[in-house]
Amino acid sequence: MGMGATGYRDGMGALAKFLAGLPRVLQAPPEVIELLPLAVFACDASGRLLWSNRSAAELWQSAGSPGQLCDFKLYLAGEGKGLETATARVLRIPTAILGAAGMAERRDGTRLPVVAHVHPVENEGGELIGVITCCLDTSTVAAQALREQNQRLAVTYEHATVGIAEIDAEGRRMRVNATACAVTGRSREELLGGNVFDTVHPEDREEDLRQYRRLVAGDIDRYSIEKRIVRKDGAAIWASVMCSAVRDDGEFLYAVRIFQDITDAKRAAQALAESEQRLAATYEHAGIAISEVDERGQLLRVNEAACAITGYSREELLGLTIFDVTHPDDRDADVESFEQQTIDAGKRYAVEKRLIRKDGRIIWVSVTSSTVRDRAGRFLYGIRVMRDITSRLRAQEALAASERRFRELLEGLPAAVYTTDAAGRITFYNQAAVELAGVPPEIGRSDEQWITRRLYQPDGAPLPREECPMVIALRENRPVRGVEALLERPDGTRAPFIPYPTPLRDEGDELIGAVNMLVDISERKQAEANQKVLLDELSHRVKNNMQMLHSLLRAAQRETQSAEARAVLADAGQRVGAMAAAQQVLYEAGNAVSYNAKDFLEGVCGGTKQVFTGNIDIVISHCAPERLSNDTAMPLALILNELLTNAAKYGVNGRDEGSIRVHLTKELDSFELVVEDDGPGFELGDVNKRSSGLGLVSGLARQLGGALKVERAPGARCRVQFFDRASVH
Amino acid sequence: MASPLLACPTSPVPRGTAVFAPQDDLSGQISKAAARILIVEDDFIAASEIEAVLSDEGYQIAGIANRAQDAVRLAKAELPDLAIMDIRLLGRMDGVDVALQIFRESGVRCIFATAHYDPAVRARAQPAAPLGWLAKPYAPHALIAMVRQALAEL
Repeated sequence: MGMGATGYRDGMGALAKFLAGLPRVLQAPPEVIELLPLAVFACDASGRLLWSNRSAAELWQSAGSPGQLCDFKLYLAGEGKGLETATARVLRIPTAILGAAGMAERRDGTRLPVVAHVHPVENEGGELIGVITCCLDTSTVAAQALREQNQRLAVTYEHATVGIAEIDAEGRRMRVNATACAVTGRSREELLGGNVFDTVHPEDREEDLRQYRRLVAGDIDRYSIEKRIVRKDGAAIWASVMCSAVRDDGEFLYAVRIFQDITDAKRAAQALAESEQRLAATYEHAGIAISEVDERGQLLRVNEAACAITGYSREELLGLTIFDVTHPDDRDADVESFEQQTIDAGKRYAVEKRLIRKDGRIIWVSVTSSTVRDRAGRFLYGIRVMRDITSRLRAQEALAASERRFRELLEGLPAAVYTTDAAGRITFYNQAAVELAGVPPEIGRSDEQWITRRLYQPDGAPLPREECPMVIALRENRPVRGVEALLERPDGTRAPFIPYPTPLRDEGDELIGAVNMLVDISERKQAEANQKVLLDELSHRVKNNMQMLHSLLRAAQRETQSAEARAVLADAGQRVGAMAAAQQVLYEAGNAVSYNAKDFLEGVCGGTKQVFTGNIDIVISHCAPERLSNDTAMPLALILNELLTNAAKYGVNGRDEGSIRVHLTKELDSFELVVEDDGPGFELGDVNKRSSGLGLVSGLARQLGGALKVERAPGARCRVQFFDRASVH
Repeated sequence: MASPLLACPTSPVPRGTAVFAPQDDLSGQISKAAARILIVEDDFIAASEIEAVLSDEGYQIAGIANRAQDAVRLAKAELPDLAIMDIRLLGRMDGVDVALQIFRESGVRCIFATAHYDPAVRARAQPAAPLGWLAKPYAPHALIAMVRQALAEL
């Protein structure tokens, strides 16, 4: 024949078809078949061998037993061992297998590569009555390459990553690869012979069928479709299908469907679409104005907020540039920055500028401008994010105005005021502070140099830093009061003042600084000094006057001739003398409200003793270490004078010497002055008979809220209880 | 009567004793004889002096009080014709408070004695219908004159 393998195959195909078209052939094959170098054999519908030719016997090393089940084993390539033979396949599924690479398994187990055509035979009624198999041995060296190529193709076909199915004009599967089984979730047996359109999702079936019919009819050569395949487990997967026809001379032979599972891809695409949708919505409804601009500043895209803030509609905005809505005074700077940005590699800039709305209103906005670039760094478009800061600016202005007013207020205060931060650095000071300190401080520096280092205690000793009121206030976070100090000025003078440091806290109650008011008390100190001088002067004058009075009485006493007058003047003079002695004790050491009881007793007793004749001792046996209010001084002096005089007159028993004992004790809420002698003693009831001044003592004792008591101890003991009412109240 | 500086004063003149002293007319003599004066003064020596001066002039001393409670009690018990009231008294009540009370309770009016001129004090004292204001320190004749004038008013 001289045909190449291809020619054989084609020829073989034609032969097989021809033969199959002649049902008689099953009974009696034409003699020529015996001569063909092609292995040919026929089986009946139940698979029993009807006849075979010599080539078949050679190929299979067996003559075959007609009437027996055909044991010419022919397997299709790539389908592995143990499956049904091609012949059995076609018997089962009466579809022709054409030009398939296969494997003939010989009696001795070896396998020979073949190319086979297996054709079903039908009677007039269309019933299957047998199968004719033609095989060409391709194991010869010339066919080696072809065989190998076929082998490779078969494997490739079988394990391609796409599902491949060959279907006939009705859609019945003649052949499927392994991936097709995997994608559809069915086994090869389930798939073969089944109709491919049965597994298409009902909603997609019609379209697929429609296209297929057109393909079969020859209207189209191929088509693609995305459709759902219903797997065996009922799940539907998305598949992308390419369907093409194999024709012979224009006549439809079969179709090849290539399909793959695109479910994941479809899902990913869906997710992406959703994500993009969300992104777009976010962009659109963001609370901040976002716009995209080209290199000229022309608005390419704007969101809702951008329209709201500018008062323009979207269409209007897209016809404008960003500079069209900028206030003229701010335009140049913005233009410059923007141009720079389109050139420079991605420098973001922020600007605060005035925007002119559509209605003409001017608002302040804060704009951040950035760029999107391509991989080469070239400007693609700009992004502008814009915020209305008018209310913020207004609030800032109001705050600044309020702070200004506050400072003006502080400036106007006559007291020195300054504030520091939590670390003690000066943040504010007023003019009065400069005047007090003699020099202005440095803002931002600690108040140490200015004030703290130059502080002294009222007695002149330096005030240690830790004890400085402002330092304490900041350290212990509390106000400090009641401290007096001196501030040394640069010229060396020292100003007395009282500081009032108070911590300042924020809303969270955290210490943020302190305010200190320094009240200059120089004038007050001066007044106090003047007052003291005045007091001293007055006290001195009163003392002098009383001495003068005392002297006048003594002079009068010396001048008179009358003994009675002399006695009377002597008594009067002594009383004045006692008061003068008491006066000496008042206002000592500048104490304007009280006097020392012991000094008082000594002074009055000393004065009285001087007029005593003879050797009479006045002993102060005890004096409570107390101070008494000034208004008790004169009454007590007169009381003491009377009691001492009486004791001297009547208590020494006519002798010239004796001792009188005086003591002052403090009781729970009162005092007691006691004068005691060694005389005969007396009863208070007898007093009226004698002009002893005891009425005066009683009256004065009552004036002091107390009373006079007299005891016999055995001498006279006079006890005067009194209250220091001034100190009680 | 002797002054306190020279000797101790004796007890006040008993009630009902007629004391003769220089006067201008009979009515004055009768009013002077009937006039009983309450002294409210916490300084003993000052009180003694007022007592002496008034007694010398022939007036009767209804009593001497050195505290607010005693003043109120004596005013009620003795119903004097008038009182010599020291403004400055030690204690919660001052002379004005006492004057207001004794005027309210007993109808007794006062001659006020004070070291300081204070319009606020004077205003406070108005409801007590003061008879006069005496500035301390005062001379005896000033006291006498004021008492005479006051008694003529009553």
